[in-house]
Amino acid sequence: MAPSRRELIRSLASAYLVGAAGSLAASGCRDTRRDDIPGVVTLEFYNYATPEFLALYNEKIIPRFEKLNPGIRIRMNASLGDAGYDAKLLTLIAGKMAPDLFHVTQQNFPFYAAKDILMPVDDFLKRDSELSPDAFYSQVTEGMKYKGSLLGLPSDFSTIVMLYNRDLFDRYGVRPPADDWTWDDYLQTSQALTHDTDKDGHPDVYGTMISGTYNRWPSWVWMNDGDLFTPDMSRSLMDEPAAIEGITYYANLALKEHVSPTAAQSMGQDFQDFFTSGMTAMIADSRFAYKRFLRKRKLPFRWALAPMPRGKRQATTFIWGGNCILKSTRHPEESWKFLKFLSGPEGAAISREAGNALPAYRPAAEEEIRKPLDPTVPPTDHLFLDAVSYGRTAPFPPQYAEYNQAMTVLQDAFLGLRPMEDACKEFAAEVNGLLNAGVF
Amino acid sequence: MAVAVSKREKEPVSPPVTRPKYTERERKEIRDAYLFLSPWLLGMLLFTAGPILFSLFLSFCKWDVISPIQWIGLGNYQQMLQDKLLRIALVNTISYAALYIPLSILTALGLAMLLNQKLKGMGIFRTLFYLPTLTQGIATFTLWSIIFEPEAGLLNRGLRTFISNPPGWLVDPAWSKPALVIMALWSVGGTMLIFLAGLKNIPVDFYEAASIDGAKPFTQFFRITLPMLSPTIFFNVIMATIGAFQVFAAAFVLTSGGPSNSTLFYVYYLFNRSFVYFNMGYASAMAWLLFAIVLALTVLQTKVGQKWVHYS
Amino acid sequence: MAKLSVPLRYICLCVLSALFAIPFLWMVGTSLTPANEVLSRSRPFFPAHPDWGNYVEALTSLPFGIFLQNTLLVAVLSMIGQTLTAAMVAFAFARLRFPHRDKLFLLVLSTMMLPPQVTMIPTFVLWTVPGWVDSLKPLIIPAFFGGGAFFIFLLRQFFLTLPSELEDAARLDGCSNWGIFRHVALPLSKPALTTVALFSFIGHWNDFLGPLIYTQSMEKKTLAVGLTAFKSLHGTEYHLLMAASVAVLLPILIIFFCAQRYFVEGIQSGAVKG
Repeated sequence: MAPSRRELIRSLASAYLVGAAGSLAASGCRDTRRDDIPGVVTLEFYNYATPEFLALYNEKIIPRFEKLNPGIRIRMNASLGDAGYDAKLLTLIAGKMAPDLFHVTQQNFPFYAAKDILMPVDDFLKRDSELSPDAFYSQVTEGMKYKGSLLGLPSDFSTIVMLYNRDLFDRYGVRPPADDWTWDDYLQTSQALTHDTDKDGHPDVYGTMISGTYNRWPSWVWMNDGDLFTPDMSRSLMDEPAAIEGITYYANLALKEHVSPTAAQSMGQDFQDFFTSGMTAMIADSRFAYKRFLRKRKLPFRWALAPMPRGKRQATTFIWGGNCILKSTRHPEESWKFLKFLSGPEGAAISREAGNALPAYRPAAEEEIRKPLDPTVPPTDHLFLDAVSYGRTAPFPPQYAEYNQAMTVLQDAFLGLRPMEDACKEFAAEVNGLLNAGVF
Repeated sequence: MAVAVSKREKEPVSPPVTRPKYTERERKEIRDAYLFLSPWLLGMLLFTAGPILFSLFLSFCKWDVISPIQWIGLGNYQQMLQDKLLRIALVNTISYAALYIPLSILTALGLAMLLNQKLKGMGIFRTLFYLPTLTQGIATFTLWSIIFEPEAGLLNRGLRTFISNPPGWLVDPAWSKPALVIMALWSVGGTMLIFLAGLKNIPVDFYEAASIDGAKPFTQFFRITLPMLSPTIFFNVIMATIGAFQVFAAAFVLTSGGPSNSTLFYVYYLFNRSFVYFNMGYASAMAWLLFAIVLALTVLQTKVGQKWVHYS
Repeated sequence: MAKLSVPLRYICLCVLSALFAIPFLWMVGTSLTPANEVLSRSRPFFPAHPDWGNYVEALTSLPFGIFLQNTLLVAVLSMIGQTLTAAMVAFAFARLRFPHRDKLFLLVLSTMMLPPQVTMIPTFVLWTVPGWVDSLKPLIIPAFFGGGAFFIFLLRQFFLTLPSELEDAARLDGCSNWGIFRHVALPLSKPALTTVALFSFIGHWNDFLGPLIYTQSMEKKTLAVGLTAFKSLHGTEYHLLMAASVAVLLPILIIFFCAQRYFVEGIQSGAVKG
């Protein structure tokens, strides 16, 4: 062999050695997936995680659970942020590395449920003397049912209420919303609060803020006695007058009345930022927003809560989260223990410390409203709980993506690109087409 | 890919009966070549070929990752013909590419030529132009989302001093693509550096000789710079094309394809088809259509390139 | 260019670099603005009372030290692997003759044309076979196998422009192919190699989808993934995201500023011999 070739091969070999050594160093020579201690079961829990949530899990919830259950260890697999949460979960499932439990929301639960990969928990609950399904708000337990079985336990929820900037109300001498205020009151209040202080023909303070997102507009259809679907979900009702009128009233707050920034603006933006910066006097939001309004983020103005204004009837949106066990788990009993801990009294009590969504476990939620862990919450905090009686979750078909795509026409109408009535009719026709084709 | 076929390879090979196909020296060169190629060949076999072939297979199947894979023949490809969103995505991507490719090449070349001067403080300018490329993707996208914000954003605050009604940028279907192109041009530093390296590679004596002959800077640019830079331009054009056709992250992080589907780009739609619609087979079929389009464009650019790309 | 006066050239440079710097300054400004004022319409470029606490909060809310370690490890090792092996492969494509060379090269390029999103799942499944999916290995090891089509192509273009006289002379002196690669091609391509090394480093520094999929536990995550934590289902923490991003940018900015000096010198020394 020529010396040069030997040199070539030697260089190649050393390159690979560097690579191999480097990657060994990178993994710390230890494969974390195989370090099970004999007699100890390790459960993998996949979750969304923001920094403060991670701290809560890693420092409070998991240590507490592991202390109570010495034979079980929990390994968190947190998808930081929401980007790629489902993509990553699917990849884990495809690689036969599915977690034992994972977190769902009202939006992605129906897909996983329809795929028959979630473990029903009815039998566990029946055998369990401590926890009854009635201990949870029914919107969540109903939401987590698929074909009659409960496929997980709810963990948290929030209704949506109206938040308002009291300083702005005082500055413009506007009376705060009454408990029984109506759509007309809402419009008038918004008008009284909209001001062009620098007289450039462009308001600097808006009365309110609308949003074309699916967690907001459906309640305006419900309040107007309309609905999105027939009760059996066989047909879209968005082409009915009640629905069209409701959503049109809402969109017109920006498009016609100009008491709200356009929906376009709210789409490019996080909803709350207009409120926190004092550019809008009222926004409809969930208790999740608290983490941006309280403690370290204490707002520089006084603010309070009001119920959603009453249309033909009272209604609001109910959003929730929960946890599910995957059927593929090798440790169903242990997974159930953790699931129950997360949703039951202990987990619910600890999760109150996150200071945003309410626990789905009724006694904990009521306790939080009665005696909030954070004493700076507004005194009208109970409105979140009061709204439960008329709160509803917007329907999420298992193939949400197709449905969401059909909603583009409604977004166009919110942007003022086309009349809302046409958009609703086209949306209904499209959704009915999807329903007839059996896509959902 | 006959960009630079050497003369020797073009010589007619003598019939193998009279002479072995390759001389001893050629055989040695071939053996050496495969040794040099071995890392890539191994990588191809180990990591790349399998997933690529699997996605080709999947393009004839229906698969949601969870249920078993189901063979449906040409079903996905037939469905693609009917898919109006796919058409929108393709048109969006092509118009983005038509805007992005020329603008990014011109901007990058212009900046590189500005930087290719012997002046004091060049390091600082180079760093400033390259700064955006060093910024993490998520930070870049979020930063521009607040700059483009129609009410309070920096851009419109500035524009309002000149015009009363500035565009809505990311929330206006007519302006969303130009906005994303502006954002992409801000991060053009990579292409710029490649041009700069290419410019620095042009021997200075070429210019000196031309100056002595009395050539004006303008003539020098067309007679020396462009021809000498042509391999670099060729590279950057091909890469910009592949990049523009695969534009994804901005739509994924920033616009979610909106408003009004105006930033529904091909690969973003493909990603949605796999991880939001959970239809891996369809997404694979889409990927192979894109592959065919980009491959055809690359081969075309190569054929055209043979006329204008000069190697020393 | 040579005929523009020096002050005019500086003016050009300053105006253009200001255009590039303004968004960045806005980023720094945002990172120092209290949370509630980020989107206020009257917000000044730099806040009157900079809130340095944003940096403390952003950097302590997640283990960014560990993220930095992981990212550096991946970026440095991948940079070595990619630069080295891509140079070898590119050299063969540019300077050696072998059958089917152009077809093989088209194959190299074509691996770039299939969007990576579509091979994500099968590639992940591949790495589960040795059980390396909660490690940084899938992010590092492939770098040592050819370095990817982009770098092969880039270096090939540069190797093609090397004057053939030098190679011929070396060959007459009895230099082997390896010798020509090692003693002629590599020293002459320092600018291109520096470019590749830099791009490779930054590519891995900023890579998001790879670490998102392959790293499970917190101790394995990288900076790019860590930063996404500030953008959640219930809103974006602009001020924290910007503070963490500026902090993360600083070290790499210093590296670049120091390296670009060498980068230019390398270019000039390479060009002289041409």
